[in-house]
Amino acid sequence: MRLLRLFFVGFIFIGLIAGLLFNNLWRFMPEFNTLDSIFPIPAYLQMLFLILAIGAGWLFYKKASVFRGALFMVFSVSVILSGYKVVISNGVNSVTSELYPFYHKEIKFGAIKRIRMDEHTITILTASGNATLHTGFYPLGLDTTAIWDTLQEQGNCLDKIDNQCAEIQFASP
Amino acid sequence: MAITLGNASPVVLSDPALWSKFQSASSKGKVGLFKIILPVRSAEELFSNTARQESISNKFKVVINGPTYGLTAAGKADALFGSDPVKAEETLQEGRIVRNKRVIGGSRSDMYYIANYTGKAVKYRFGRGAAPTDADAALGNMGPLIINGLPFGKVNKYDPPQPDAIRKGQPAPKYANSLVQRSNNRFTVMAGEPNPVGKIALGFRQDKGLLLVLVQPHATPGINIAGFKGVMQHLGLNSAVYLDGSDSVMLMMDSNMLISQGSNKNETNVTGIGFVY
Repeated sequence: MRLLRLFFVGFIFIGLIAGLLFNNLWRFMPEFNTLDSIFPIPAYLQMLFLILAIGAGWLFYKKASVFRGALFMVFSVSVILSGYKVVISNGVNSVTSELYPFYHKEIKFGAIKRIRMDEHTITILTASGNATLHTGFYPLGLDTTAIWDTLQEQGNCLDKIDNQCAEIQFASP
Repeated sequence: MAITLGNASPVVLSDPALWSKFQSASSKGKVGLFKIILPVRSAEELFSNTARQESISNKFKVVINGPTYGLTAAGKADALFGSDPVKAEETLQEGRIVRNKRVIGGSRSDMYYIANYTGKAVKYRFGRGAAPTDADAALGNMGPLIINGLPFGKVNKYDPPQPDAIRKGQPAPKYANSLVQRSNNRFTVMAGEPNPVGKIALGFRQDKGLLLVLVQPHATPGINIAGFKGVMQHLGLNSAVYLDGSDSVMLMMDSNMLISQGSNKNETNVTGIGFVY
């Protein structure tokens, strides 16, 4: 049984590390991101979740229990979700939200008409429908202010609420 | 900073005789009569090898790199680990690649293109959107500096001023005649980059039928993208576009590499532009 737990925990760890690496490749090759604005979960949080998952996994391996198993899964899921990021790229002309390999949504600049900012979501209006980017609660989520500031630079403000721009007309190219 | 001419001689931008020197080199080396052929990497090889092989087989005078591109996750991982070439299909080429009136790759881009039409006289056309499929060679996803006489910048500018017109994007038709500078978001982002970031641009002067390649190697003292545009305007070019910069900048002359790309770019780059008499 212990061997089975070791295999299970080891398999999860390999997956977590591979997933973290693939979602953070951009940090190791900045030369590919010259024209990109990348908005990730902060790196220190990703590392913290990984360390907590390692600790919980070690506890679960040493002595299995439902509580320790649940703790291990919670922190493992946190590691996975912490790979989520939004990329605004003027190189490939798109807004992308992704969590490799589970989720990838790309909206080309040419398709974007307007962008609306709400508290924890950004709604992108295109000719074929709306797309929603969930940003969560910073720092556990994305820096919505930074994303919105970047998007505002790429368009014209259409609507203000409390003197803050709430909707922009996206300007492309 | 150097402007590379037919004989690869550096010149000083503040030199008042710059244009006449350029013309002199042009008339000797027939710089203005280039036609474009697009070398495209399809095998798992370094782009420098593709460029060199196509340069020899097509007798290119000059080969430069192409526009910006993306990579798949697998492509990025492959580029990060090791120095072997990345499979061409892992590179996501933005902008259509047209060769001999046929689209051979790339996705449609809303950015700007250069198109080359050969025949009785070599012609170049610059425009916005998908590269035309009736061209002998065309490449999209270029960043604009000047397009058909209209310079580009961070925001729209109007003369006379138009307070009701938009700052960014295509203005309403009623303001079109007042537009003296068009905004472009990629230009805005490039303008925020430090001067030493590599740049490469391609421009055309209609009345003299001359094509110019302007190169600033990466990590060298240089000028910003607005300065690049200024050089093009100073030289009276009608249209000018810039390609992938940073350490993607590549310059090959007579099949000799003068400016190499960074290693990861050499492993992943798919398209360039070759110039032949």
